[in-house]
Amino acid sequence: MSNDLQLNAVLNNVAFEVFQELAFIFPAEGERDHDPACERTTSAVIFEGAHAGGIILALPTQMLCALASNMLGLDETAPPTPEQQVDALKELANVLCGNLLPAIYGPEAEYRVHSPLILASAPADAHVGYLCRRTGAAQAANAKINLELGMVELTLCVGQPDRMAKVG
Amino acid sequence: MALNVLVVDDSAVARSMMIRTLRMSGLPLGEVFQAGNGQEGLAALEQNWVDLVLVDINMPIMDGEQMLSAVRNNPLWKDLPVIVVSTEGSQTRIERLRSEGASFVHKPFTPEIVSSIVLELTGVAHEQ
Repeated sequence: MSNDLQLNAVLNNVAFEVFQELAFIFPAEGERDHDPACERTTSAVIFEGAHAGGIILALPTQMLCALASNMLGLDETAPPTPEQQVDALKELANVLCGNLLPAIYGPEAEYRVHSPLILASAPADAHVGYLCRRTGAAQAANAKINLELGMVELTLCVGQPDRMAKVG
Repeated sequence: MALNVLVVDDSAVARSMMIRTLRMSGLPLGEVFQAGNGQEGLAALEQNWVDLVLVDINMPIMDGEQMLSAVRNNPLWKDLPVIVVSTEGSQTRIERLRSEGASFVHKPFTPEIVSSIVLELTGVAHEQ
């Protein structure tokens, strides 16, 4: 298996585990085509330390309500507020990033993980370009995570530790 | 004995999840205080009686490691049970936190894990 495929497999495995354990959202049983026209909400988490870079997590916007409800244990009579939905996505991205880094680079490396951001609506490659400019990184892997509630896209950008651009 | 708990995390959703997990674990909870960073956490400790602190690592203004150091350097709180609840994967940093007398829970977590660590730290068992 090539390095790219191995990295994508790690992204897939970590994402499946985190979605299941944190939000009780499970893998889809059948194949699904990626729908580029689907409205998505995107979060990014920047890290620095042994490596500098970030992850970008794009979810179908319609998934946010179920995500927040599951994470907070809310029922149908008390749907999550828009603020809770966004906060749930940010926490999910934070947990994904924290679990992904040791899975790829091992348990000895130390990182400083910044607070998750919500990125303005834009095409996926614009988000990747923004993150790479901001962190001095390059896209290292991209995985389409096929979940029961929709297709999620997870991108990892990584650069050298000393090339971190100023993070505001 | 009911435990007064302080939960420190910059994410409101993460704080809610921790508090819900504590309630689900069957531990006898008294008052639950919340703070959005280490500095607010120290202020909450000064103003309230707290039996147990759960704190995240990566937070703005003052992170969890800095808060833990401040807690350990205060004679009033040097023996206060602290659980770091984080996505942290670096064994080096986890060992450093443990050397400061903190326990560690990795996110995502289950009520069973939180409950067993709280029991180990405080000796307070589940409510039947």
